[in-house]
Amino acid sequence: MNMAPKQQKEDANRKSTCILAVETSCDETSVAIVRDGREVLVNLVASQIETHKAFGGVVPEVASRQHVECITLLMEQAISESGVAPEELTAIAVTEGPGLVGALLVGIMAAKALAFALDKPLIGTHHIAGHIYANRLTEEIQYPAIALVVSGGHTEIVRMESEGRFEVMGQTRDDAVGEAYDKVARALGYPYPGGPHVDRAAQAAESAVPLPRVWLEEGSYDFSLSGLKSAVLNLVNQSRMKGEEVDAGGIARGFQESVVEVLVGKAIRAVHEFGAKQLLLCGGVAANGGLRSELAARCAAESITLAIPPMKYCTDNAAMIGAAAHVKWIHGEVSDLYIKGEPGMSLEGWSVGASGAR
Amino acid sequence: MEKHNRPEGRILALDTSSAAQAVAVLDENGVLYESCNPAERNHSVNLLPEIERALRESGTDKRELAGIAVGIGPGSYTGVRIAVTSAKTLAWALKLPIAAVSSLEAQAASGREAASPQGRGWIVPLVDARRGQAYTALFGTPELPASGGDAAEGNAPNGGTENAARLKRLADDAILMVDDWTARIADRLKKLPESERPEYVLFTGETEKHAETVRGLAELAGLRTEQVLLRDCPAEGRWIGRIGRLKLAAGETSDAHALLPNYTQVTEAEANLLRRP
Ligand SMILES: [Zn+2]
Repeated sequence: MNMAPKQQKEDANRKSTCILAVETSCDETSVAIVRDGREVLVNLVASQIETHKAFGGVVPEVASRQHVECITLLMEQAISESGVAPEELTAIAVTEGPGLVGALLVGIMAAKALAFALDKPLIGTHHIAGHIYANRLTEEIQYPAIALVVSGGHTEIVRMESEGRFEVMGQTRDDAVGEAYDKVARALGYPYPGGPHVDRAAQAAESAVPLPRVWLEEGSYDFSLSGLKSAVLNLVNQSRMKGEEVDAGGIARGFQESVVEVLVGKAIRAVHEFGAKQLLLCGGVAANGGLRSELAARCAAESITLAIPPMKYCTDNAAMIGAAAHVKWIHGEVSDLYIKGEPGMSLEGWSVGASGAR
Repeated sequence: MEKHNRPEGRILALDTSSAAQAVAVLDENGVLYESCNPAERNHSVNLLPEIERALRESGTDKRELAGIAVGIGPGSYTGVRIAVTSAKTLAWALKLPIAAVSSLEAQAASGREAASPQGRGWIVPLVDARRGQAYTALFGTPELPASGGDAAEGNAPNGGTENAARLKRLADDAILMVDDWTARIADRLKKLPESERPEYVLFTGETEKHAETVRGLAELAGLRTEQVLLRDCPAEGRWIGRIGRLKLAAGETSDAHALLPNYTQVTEAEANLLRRP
């Protein structure tokens, strides 16, 4: 054997790990136990969606209160359902950011206290890295890869040259895709959360109201959705002022076609430009039917391998946090008990090797 | 489960409901470690490392703890969640009984100890809640037997301050306008027969912002100005611990899963929803 010691250590770390992961960055309290970064032994999600529906959106203080109510119950249930004894856990992982700071803190304090009580290492984990590594819960990621991350809070194209290394190629300059969907849904009169309503209306509509495509500067991978959103609001207001019925279906379809064309166009261009072996679609908006079908069609036509995790791993969940944390564990990077919620945490800064061995 | 019957062991006490971060380790003989750091906005960063230090410096193995006492507020929502989440997770993971302590009661006891006024008094803890409001309550000094009193400290078999009964609660923890609250206290005082009137009223906790308002109590209630005392003082770890110890010994424990902060009020969003027709 002529492996370098570091390589030996990495190979040892790759096997037989059992990470308990906690995710409380927004309105889902989730605890999972993941073996070797890929096998989900248990993934519990306590959704608060019914609570926040009444408010028409996520209320941070309400979300934080609900996290405190169920966090230890979920940890206990996860351990008992997995059949893994607490002392057999390899590490405790937790979403460190980005997210709602008060909500993040509940998971972080619980994870720190559990790591301390069990004398286990703690791994502060980036939420978007979690969305990307959700892909590893079903199949190995082939590098270099391009990830298209679309959720209520994020719209990013991320390039991954190798395992655990993230380079943000482009991101939204204003609203996230999910956010724009919710705002358009509200304007069209759909209840919160409105994204799925707009998607359904768009797919059912016979024709699309023409709306602009926002490509930004030549070669840019950034996005801007506020102009498109304003165009929709103007259309709705004009119809109302004229006393006409709002063509909700046509507007929904026009909006969705514009969003999807730009998202898909930029993601495909990134795959070609960087010779990526795979395109990963991640985040809650991966549920969007219009986006999935257009992306699948383009990838098939251009012989690009497309991976989309099952929906339960696309929306916020702790299994994906366990999968991402495993990458840090393999490379010997763990956190200390001083971590806190990082609402604006950098994905690139979380890359393996970026901040030295913390 | 046997662990639940070890009132004589060491307990860990924590509170992060105000700007101060209080951590202590106590046993039946007294305080083994105590720290009170002005950690505003950094409770989440420092609390676990500080707990680690408290156990190390007091020579305590966390598995040997007999219980946890935690201040459940009221106070800063985020602050209270930090100690409560940590405490409930530690209690669940280490299978320890947990006692929920009113941060205001601990603050009142801390303030009384710091100011050490003589005689029978009322104590009003204050945690500023902005816009003229405070989290507050009302306590009376315990009625001690004529022969005992505070002098018993250290003499009795289970002696020390532990043996002193808790302060008598005269009003629940609540968020109130400090001027209204001062007037209500004055009314209560005026209705008391002379023989039951406290010899002083001590305002403690975060008194600074409300000093002028609460000093007005003297005139409102017909007290001499020197009967109204102000003493800034956080909820100290040793008092979270002492009160927690009494509660643990009395079997007043909480289920770790069910333990929640005492916010004293619903969120603004929920209140708005309730107001909607
Ligand atoms: Zn997310």
